[in-house]
Amino acid sequence: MHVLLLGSGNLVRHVAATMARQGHQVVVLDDHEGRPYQQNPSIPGYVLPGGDNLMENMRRAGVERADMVIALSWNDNLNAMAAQIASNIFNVPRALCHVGEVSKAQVYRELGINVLSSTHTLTDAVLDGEEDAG
Amino acid sequence: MYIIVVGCGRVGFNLTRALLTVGHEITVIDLDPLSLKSASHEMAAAFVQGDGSSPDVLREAGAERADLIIGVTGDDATNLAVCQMSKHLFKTPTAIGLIKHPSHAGLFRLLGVDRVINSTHLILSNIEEAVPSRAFMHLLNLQTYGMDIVALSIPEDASVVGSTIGSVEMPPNSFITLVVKQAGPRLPEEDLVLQAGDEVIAVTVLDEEQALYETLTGAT
Repeated sequence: MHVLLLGSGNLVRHVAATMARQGHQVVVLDDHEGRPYQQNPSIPGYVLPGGDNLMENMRRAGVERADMVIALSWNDNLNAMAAQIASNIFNVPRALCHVGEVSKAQVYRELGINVLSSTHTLTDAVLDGEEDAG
Repeated sequence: MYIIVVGCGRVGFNLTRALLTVGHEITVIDLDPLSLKSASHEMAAAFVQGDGSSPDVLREAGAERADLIIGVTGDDATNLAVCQMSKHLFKTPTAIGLIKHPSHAGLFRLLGVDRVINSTHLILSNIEEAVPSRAFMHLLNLQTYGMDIVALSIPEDASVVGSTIGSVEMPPNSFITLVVKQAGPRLPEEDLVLQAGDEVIAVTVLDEEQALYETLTGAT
């Protein structure tokens, strides 16, 4: 599977490395200007340059070939836009995006976007922990 | 009208000032408290500090009763989110979004933004009036049909100079609608001859703009 990941930092590095180990073709589009993707040399990385021309940079990173796009940057708006570019413009079969703000995540779900929310996941984990402790 | 402007940079600031003078009620939202503070010294709008793409902040700004929302931050993704949030949650009748990158125009329209303002086109059309240039002047954008009405003047070295309109091979969805010659406007009849300096008004679609430009200005 061709996978395009958007984001930077530990989360993206970990997801990229794991998917690459499973045999997927992974490309990372790093949204932190001026800090090229450094980690596993077998994973090609592109830097999303300043000025954030997202559509053009996703094209450059090979979105046309992608089977899946996962947007995991810390910018909710950028992630949602990336997922919508993937599904609506390039017909990528699967597009997922992380949206941290709960009320925003709800809107995007209602608009038909596949939203991952670490806020929900963490909240659930904390509440489960409390129940276990109690 | 009650209008929410998201983004208090140069565009948002001047836009708000202009809208206030014609009598609209405006709330301006921006993340940066300093921009809001300096704007508040100069105009009688309401100001809300926060992320204008956040549902809670939009609600605080009175999005429920807004007739129009305008996203003019410097970030295309934020402007898109502003429009999507307010249209979906608050049923805002009209959402206008500014884009920096022309490639995002189609996406914005597809996702329900009522009017897309392309800052590159805006700047170009302002410059074109002052500076002789070969680029298009965008006269009108017909969003519903994905079409543009553009104007350009035929340069001296263009290969179409001396040809009749009927003999020019136009892109399939582009049409010359009027030719303005020194003597005045002329309808684009088949046997009308194009000359250097003629202003051509044409209807075109976004992905044919380049081809149309080359057809009418390309040298032999």
